[in-house]
Amino acid sequence: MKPYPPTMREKRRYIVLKAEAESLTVKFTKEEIERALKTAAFEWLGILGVVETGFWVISADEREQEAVVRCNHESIDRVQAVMCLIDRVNNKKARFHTLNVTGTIKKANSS
Amino acid sequence: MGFYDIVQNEKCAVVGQNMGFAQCFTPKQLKIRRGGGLEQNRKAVRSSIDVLLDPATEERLEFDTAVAQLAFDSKIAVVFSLNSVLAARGAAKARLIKNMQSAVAICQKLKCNIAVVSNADEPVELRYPNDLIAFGTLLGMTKLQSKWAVSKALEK
Repeated sequence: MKPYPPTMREKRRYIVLKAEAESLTVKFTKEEIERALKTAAFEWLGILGVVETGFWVISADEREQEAVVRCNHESIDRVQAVMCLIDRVNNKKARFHTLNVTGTIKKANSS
Repeated sequence: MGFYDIVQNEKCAVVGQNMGFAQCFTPKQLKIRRGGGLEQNRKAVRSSIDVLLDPATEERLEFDTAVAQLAFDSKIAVVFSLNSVLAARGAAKARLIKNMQSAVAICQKLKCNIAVVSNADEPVELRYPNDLIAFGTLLGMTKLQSKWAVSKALEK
């Protein structure tokens, strides 16, 4: 199958997020972070919204409490807004903060 | 560019200043009146206050062009808080955001001073300036308007 021509390809952006709990001693597991992000996306955007924004959780890091999510370039603001509306992770009070928005996974992982 | 926020206590104000805000106002520093119902909104814009907080609730929107015009004439900032959205549950959350979007549209039409704040009660409810800007775009503002709402709107 031929690949999409560059003009038709979805222009992806990678958002680096950091999870911050109420207390510095509370750390979330990789699965908890991923589940919180996916649940929030489906709750706020819905299935069709996730399709339109191209939202996906790429990776999560337990040690740094960071995650990388993907979306398309037109819906960065929407996805960032959804991420800021998360107030709980695994029933514990928390917030997600956007560290960086990059165009490649390599830059996202290095930031 | 300095960013400003409104919080409910001094503890959040101190944490907020470490998060990139130039200043986090508490109710002692600004004259804040909470809106909601029609009478509350009207009473608030007729008194000498600085800020009308949360004119929209999850019930019927009671913020009309008359209230917005009075707010513009009295130089009162109309402020929308993230905390009210976080506190709502279920379908009420959707209704609240819808009403907030309508209120923002009315304020934009009448050129009122709009601000977006966290109104945090605990440090974990605080959000960084970029996240508040993103929340502002969710309410129907452009990125530039949202940036203004988090920075210049509350700058004295």
